[in-house]
Amino acid sequence: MNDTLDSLTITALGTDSIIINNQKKVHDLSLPLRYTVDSTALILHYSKTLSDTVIIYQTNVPYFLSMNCGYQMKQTINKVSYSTHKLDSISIKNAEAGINEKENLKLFY
Amino acid sequence: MKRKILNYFTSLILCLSIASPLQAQEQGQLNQRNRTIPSKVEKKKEPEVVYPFYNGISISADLFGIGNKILGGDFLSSEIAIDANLKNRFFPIAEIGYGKTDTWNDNGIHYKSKAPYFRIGMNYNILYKKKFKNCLFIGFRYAMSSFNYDIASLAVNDPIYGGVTDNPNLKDNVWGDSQSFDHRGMKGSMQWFELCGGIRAHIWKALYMGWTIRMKYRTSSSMGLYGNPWYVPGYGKYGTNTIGITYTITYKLPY
Repeated sequence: MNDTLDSLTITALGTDSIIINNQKKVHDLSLPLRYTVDSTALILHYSKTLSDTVIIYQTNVPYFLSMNCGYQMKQTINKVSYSTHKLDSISIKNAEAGINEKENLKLFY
Repeated sequence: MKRKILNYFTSLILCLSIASPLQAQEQGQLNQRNRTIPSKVEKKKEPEVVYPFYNGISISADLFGIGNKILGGDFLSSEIAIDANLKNRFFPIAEIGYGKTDTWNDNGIHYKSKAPYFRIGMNYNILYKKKFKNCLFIGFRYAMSSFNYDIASLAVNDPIYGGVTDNPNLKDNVWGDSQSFDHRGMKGSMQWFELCGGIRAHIWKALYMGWTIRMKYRTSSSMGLYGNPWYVPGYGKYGTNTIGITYTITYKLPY
């Protein structure tokens, strides 16, 4: 994100899972992508009345590492669609999603 | 006068008593020289062991790969090797083998692969000057294997509430589904380099026995789209380097 959000809650659409719960002074965050379908819908709640929906379209390739380490899910972000209630735009910085602390998406407000 | 004669007499006896052992010592030294000089000449004359250029061909079979599987290892491999003895010093060698695994892990992942492998290289006998038939050698190999491999994960049924978890190893903790994994016939290949050292001891008639320890270094590899190989025939567990052992029984052909 280019700036800092005062408060943010993120939920997964279609579930009661709360991924981030009322986090303050949010500048960067880490989000999961779905394993079994090629799109991930997330709702970003800024307040009780203001929210945006972000849908990330990705390709999932399960990858076997070894008998000890098991599998890794290789995920590539293809496209992002979103509502613009508070959000201005999203750009893809690095399509290869992973846990290597690289920035994948940039959110502009 | 009598006193003078006595003095001369005692000094003569003393001289003789001292001189006679010196003479004996000199004679002893001379004898020793006479003894040692011929022995040095004898050593120089000892003929050197000169082996002809070609000393025969040997065939070896590895028993360690089979023994390892019998003792509970994951991999089964067996190989035969053929080498030529050149001047009892250089042993160019070719090895061909077959490796196999069919393994489940505790998390329900099933890995299966089997394929042949090939190695060529050379051993150098450090004890090439010795008369005996035993060898202490160092050597190198270049090896390759091309193989297919199958990886699958066991689905888990819920006996109480019903339903199936396709793959408990790839479970989506937020949305709750799991990604099944069943990819068969993935193609892989690998080439590697080995540095080895070992012994070959003569047992009986034309039979020999030996150990070889091999340091293996991957030089290149290719793999399937959905995963690394876990086992490479002839190499062992997939990785940048590993250690291997072979225990061979060798038969020296009579020509």
